[in-house]
Amino acid sequence: MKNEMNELCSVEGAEYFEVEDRAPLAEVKLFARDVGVKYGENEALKNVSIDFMEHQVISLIGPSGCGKSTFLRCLNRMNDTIEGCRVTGEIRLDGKDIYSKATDPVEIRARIGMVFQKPNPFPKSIYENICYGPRIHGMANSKADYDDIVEWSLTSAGLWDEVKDRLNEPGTGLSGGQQQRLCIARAIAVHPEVILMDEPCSALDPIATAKIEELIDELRERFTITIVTHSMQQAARISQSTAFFHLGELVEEGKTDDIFTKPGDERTEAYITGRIG
Amino acid sequence: MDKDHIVKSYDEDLRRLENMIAEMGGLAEVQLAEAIEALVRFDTDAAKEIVKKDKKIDALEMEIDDFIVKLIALRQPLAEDLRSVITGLKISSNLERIGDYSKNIAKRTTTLSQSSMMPTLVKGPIGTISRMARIVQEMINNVLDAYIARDADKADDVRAKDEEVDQLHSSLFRELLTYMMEEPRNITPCTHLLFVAKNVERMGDHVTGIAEQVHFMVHGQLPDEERIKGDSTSTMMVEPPELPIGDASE
Repeated sequence: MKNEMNELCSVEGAEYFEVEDRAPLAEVKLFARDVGVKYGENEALKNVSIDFMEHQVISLIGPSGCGKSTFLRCLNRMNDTIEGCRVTGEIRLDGKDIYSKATDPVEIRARIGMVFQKPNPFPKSIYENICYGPRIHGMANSKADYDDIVEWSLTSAGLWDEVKDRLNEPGTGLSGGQQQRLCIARAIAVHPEVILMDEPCSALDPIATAKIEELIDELRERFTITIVTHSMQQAARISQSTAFFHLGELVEEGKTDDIFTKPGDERTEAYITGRIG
Repeated sequence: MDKDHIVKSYDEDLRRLENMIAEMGGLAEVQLAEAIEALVRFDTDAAKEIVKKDKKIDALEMEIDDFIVKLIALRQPLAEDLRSVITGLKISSNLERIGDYSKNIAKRTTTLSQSSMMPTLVKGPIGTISRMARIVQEMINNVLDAYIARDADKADDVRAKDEEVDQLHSSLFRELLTYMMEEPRNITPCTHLLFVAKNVERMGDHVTGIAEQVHFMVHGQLPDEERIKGDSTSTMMVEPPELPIGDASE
C-alpha cells in the first residue's frame, strides 16, 4: 500500500523548490514562504507566505476559486496527485522542507492529516475506518493495541459514546455529522501534528456544525489546525488567525479579532461585509 | 466604503438606521434650543411641552435598539458594518441622555419662574447658560453631520469644542457661588441654575462621547489623544471674604 501511494505521489513533471533544511523556528509548526501553484500555464496561487503557529487554529477564507483550497492541499502534498500541477516556494514542517526529495510524502500525510468537505468514510466498519491508517503505518501489533487506538480516536472526536456499541457496523450508516466526526477520528488515529480541514461543516446541519466547532476547539490543545471555510461566523468563532485569499493571492493574514472588526485591506472589507468586490 | 452590499435590503436597513439616528439627533437638538428659550423667557407652558416631548426621544431610542438587535440577528454585520451598527446603538443612548437633560432644564424652569429673585439674576448666569447651550447645539448638529458623512476629522473638531463649554461652566459655577454668598435668598434659584448649567455641561460630554464613537466607526479605534478638559468645578473652592474681627460675637 505504501508503495502504491508513493507511486501516486511521484507524478511526472512535478518540480520542487529545493532548499536546505534549517532549525525549526520557535512555535512555528508549519511555515510557508512564497508558495505558488501552477496548473499547466494557469497560475492558481502566487507568493503566499504564512506562519502556522503551534496549537492555533487558522482559517483560510475567500471567494470560490481564490486558491485557498489549492494552498491547503499544498501543505500536505495533496497536489502531488494532480497531473500538471507545479508547486514552487518553501513549506516546512518543524523546519524540515516537506517538498525535499528526501521527504516521504506518505510520512508527511501521516503527520499532516486532512478532513474533507463531504464526509468520506471508507465502505468498512467504524472500527476498520479508524484502524486503516495505523495499520498502514504499522502503529500497533495486537488487537488490544488497535482497540485502544479506536477508543482513543473516537473519544477524542467526541463520537465514542454514540458508536461504542456498534463498532462493527458500516461507517457509512452514520448520520452526516457523525460521519464527519468519524473522518476526524480517522485523521487523528495516526497521531498527526497538523490537521487540515477543507470546509468540514459545509454539508452539515447547525447542530452537527456546532459539535465539530466544539471539537476543533478541544483538538487545538493537541494539534495545529488549518481550516478552509466559507462561513465568516465560523472563522470568527473558531480561529485565532484568519487569512484572506483573493484571485490566487494572500491579501492579508492577521488576528481573527482584527480581521473581522477592522481589516487592513479594502478587498477583505468588501468580502466579509458582503459587498460587490 | 462606498460599495453597495450584494443584498440590497441590507443597505436599506443601514440607511434606515442612519435616518433614525439623524431624526433622534434633530429632536434632541430642538429640545435643547427650546428648553433654553423657555428658560430665558420663563415660559412655563413651553417648559411643560418640552417635558412631554421627551417621550418621543425615548420611544425613538427603543425603536433604534429593537431595530439594531434585529439587524445583528439577521445580517450578522462585520467590520465597518459592525462598527457602524454598534456606534448607532451607543449614539442613540447618548442622545437619549441629552434629551433627559433638556427635560430636566424644562422642569427647573417651571420651579425657577416661581422665585422672586430671578429677575435680578437673569442677565448674567442665564446669558452664560445660553452661550453654553448654543455651543452644545452646534456640537450636536456637527457630530450628526460627521456621523452621516463618516467624517472622523469633523468628529474630532466637535470633541475639541467641548473645552469651551467646560470653561464657561467653570466660570459660571464661581459666579453663582458668589451670588449665593452675597444674598441667602439667591441660594434656591442659584442652586437650580447650577444644575441647569451642569446639565448643559453634561450634554457636551455626551456629544463628545458620540464624537469619539464616530471616530471609532471610521478608524476602528478610539481617538488616541486625551481630550483637553476645561471643567475645574470639581476642585473649585470659593470662600466668603473674612468677616471683620468681633463680628462673630455680635
